[in-house]
Amino acid sequence: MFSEAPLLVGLEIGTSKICAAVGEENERGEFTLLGIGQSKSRGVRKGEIVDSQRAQEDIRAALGDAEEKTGVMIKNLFLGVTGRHIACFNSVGMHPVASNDRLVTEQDIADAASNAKAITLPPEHTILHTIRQKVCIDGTEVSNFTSGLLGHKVEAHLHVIHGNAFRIQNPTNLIGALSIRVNQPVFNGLATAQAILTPEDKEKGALVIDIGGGTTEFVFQQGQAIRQAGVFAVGGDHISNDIAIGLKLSLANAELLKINHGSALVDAAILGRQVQVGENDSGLTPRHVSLEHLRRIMAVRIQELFELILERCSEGCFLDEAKAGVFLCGGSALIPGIAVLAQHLFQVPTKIASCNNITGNAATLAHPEFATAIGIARYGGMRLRGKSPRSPSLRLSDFLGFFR
Amino acid sequence: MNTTESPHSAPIHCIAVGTAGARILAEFNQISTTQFPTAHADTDPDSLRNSPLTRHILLGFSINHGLGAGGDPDIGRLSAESDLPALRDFVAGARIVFVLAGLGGGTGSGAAPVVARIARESGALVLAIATTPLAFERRRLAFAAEAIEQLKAAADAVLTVSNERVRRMHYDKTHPHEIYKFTNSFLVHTLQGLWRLLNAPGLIQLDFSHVQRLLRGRHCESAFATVQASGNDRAHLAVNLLLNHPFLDTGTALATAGQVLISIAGGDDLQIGEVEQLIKELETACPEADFIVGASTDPSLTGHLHVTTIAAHSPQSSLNTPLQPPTKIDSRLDTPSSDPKSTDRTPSTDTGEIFNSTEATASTFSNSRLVPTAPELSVEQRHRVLISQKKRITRGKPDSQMIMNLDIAPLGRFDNTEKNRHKGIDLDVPTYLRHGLVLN
Repeated sequence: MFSEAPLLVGLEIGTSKICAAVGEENERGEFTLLGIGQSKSRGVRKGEIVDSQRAQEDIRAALGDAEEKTGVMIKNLFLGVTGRHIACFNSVGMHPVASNDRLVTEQDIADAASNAKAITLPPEHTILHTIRQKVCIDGTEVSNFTSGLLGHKVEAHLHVIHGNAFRIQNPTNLIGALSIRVNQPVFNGLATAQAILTPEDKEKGALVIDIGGGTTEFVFQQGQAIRQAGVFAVGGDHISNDIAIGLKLSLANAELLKINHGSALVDAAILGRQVQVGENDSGLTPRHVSLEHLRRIMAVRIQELFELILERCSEGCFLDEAKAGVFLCGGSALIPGIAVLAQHLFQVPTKIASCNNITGNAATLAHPEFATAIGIARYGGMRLRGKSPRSPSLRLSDFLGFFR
Repeated sequence: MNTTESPHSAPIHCIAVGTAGARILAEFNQISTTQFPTAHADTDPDSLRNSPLTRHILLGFSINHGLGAGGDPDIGRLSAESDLPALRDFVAGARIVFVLAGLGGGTGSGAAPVVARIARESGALVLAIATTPLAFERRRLAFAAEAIEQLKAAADAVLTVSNERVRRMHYDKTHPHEIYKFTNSFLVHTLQGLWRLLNAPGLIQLDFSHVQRLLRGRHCESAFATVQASGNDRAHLAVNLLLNHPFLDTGTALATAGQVLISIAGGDDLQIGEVEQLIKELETACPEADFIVGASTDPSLTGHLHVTTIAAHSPQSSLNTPLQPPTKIDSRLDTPSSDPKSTDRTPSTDTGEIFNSTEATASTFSNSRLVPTAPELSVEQRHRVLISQKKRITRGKPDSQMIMNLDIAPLGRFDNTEKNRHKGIDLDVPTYLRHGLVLN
């Protein structure tokens, strides 16, 4: 079995930690998580590598940790990328049906899709993913293409995710230097959605918000289509930094304060309360700060972040369509009260996500901060499966909906 | 000396160097309503004895033994250098110093730049007002040209009136005395205009910095004139007089001016409509110019309108054009050295080095007869020294302004990272700061 099933490794180079998820997929497409290796990240700011040497050391440590825990040897992996350079938009391509009998063929749809991809990108940008949202024949959406439909004109609606080619290439090169091959770069947000959304959630429509250390990715998926996606270079780091500046603390103390006393809500019960800063092991008089100030600084930052996402999601679609609600994950999803705040703002049910449809260590799967790495590995499985000649039954769905 | 000053006025001291300057100052004193410290500095005790001014500063008795400068600017300069304490004593405490001199003679040409330098060193703003000789006085003309260059280096602003110009305005039969009288009265009126501008209770207050800004780097390229008009249509009349004024090249100077300073003075009957009309008419006459307008009232002027204009042309530093070679090369700088080595120094191409070696404290040559001569320099070298001297005396004013960093909000951890802009806001700046949340 091990010889047949390909080893799926997803590597997330995050701002606060580097995480490698190792899993495998059986013939039925069920994903099993074998283990997770992680390491503290020191060379990354806002999702992008700023210190390549340290980043490389940390990547090596994370992969080594993963190999040690799972007892496998990593030869290739799928790489998650993020950063504020990543942008998305919807594109529509048209193609007239040329044949005399007006019978729409798969080739017509492929031509329409390639027309949709003929777009002008910012210089130095490269397409990361093109996701087919729907195909229309003479303005009528066809949910599941079967040959035999007639029409004049075929429209292919795509969602294009693109990013700066150099910044995507940077981590790829670092991993290449470790003699490990990168199969494909994957947008982190997309991968996270694959890890935590069940098919029912996708069908109903769901907004996934992954608040990491330095970046926040969001993906609004409905059915197989990506309605909206994007990255804001704001994350847990910003919350800590705000606290450090606002309460005049060191970053380390701010981080501790955020973890121990932080919340996304300012409730009346905490007014006037003080909390001690840091450990009192230096013998100095401990400093106390107002709990209200701490929470207010955090609340405005998180609220602003949600408002930015809400604003972006309101461009061209309605968040009400996300009937499954908002799924929060990433390290900052652990902040108490964040789901309540999100529900209040987005006006749809909100929950802290955990990985779904995956077998493995339950405790690990429940952690929202590992969702991205697991999602990358899982996405890798889908990619390999989609390309695999052994599964012709999947060809059609790949063709119609999935990630190209 | 009568040192009564109106409380709002800046202390202005006025010093006349040489006989010509003293005459102008005395005439001004007669018509001026306010008294301020004045002094007559001269090398000739006889001239001082007949001086209309009450405070006298005798320069260089130890140099010339009471015989005057004898038309030699070097003697004039050395005389002034030898009596620096007396000059310092007079300019102490002044904020603005007027230096009046007739250039071309020994005392005016030689001592005036030294006086200007001392006044400026004492922290005052210095405006030098000088007359230049007639065209046939070839030798004196060369001395005057030399002195103007030195004044430009030493003073904040220099205004000159050419006697030759005045002479061309008169018939050949005119008595020479008339020429000087005309120049003097013209300077007196200008001085009065400036005085009003700086001191009189202003409706629209101007100060010396305006004058200085106007004249800086331009000096005597500026043309200035003062006119007085009365009657019903006095504003219009004043503009006509200005536009036909010989000192403004019958209006051409105004038309081509880059900046024009206008000081309007009137009595208690001064009307704002007049001021407006006057400025409007002048604006049509000088379309290119920036206007600096000041207006003041003086009860003694009731029924009259007094307008002083200074027209400055676009800055084209005269130092960029070659100096007119004087008939006699005056090799001496106005900062002699106490270093005896520099007396017989051969001309060096490195003027900077010469300059450093002539660095001396003023006290070393006070009351000393052994003031060494400055090294011989070629015209270009002298030129360069003057430029560097000009730079050196500048009172710590930077040439250019730094660009202020407006990103004052702290970024903490995100300093030196890529800017995180989203629709005009910097997301790295703490939200609570951007929202103006007050933590108390």
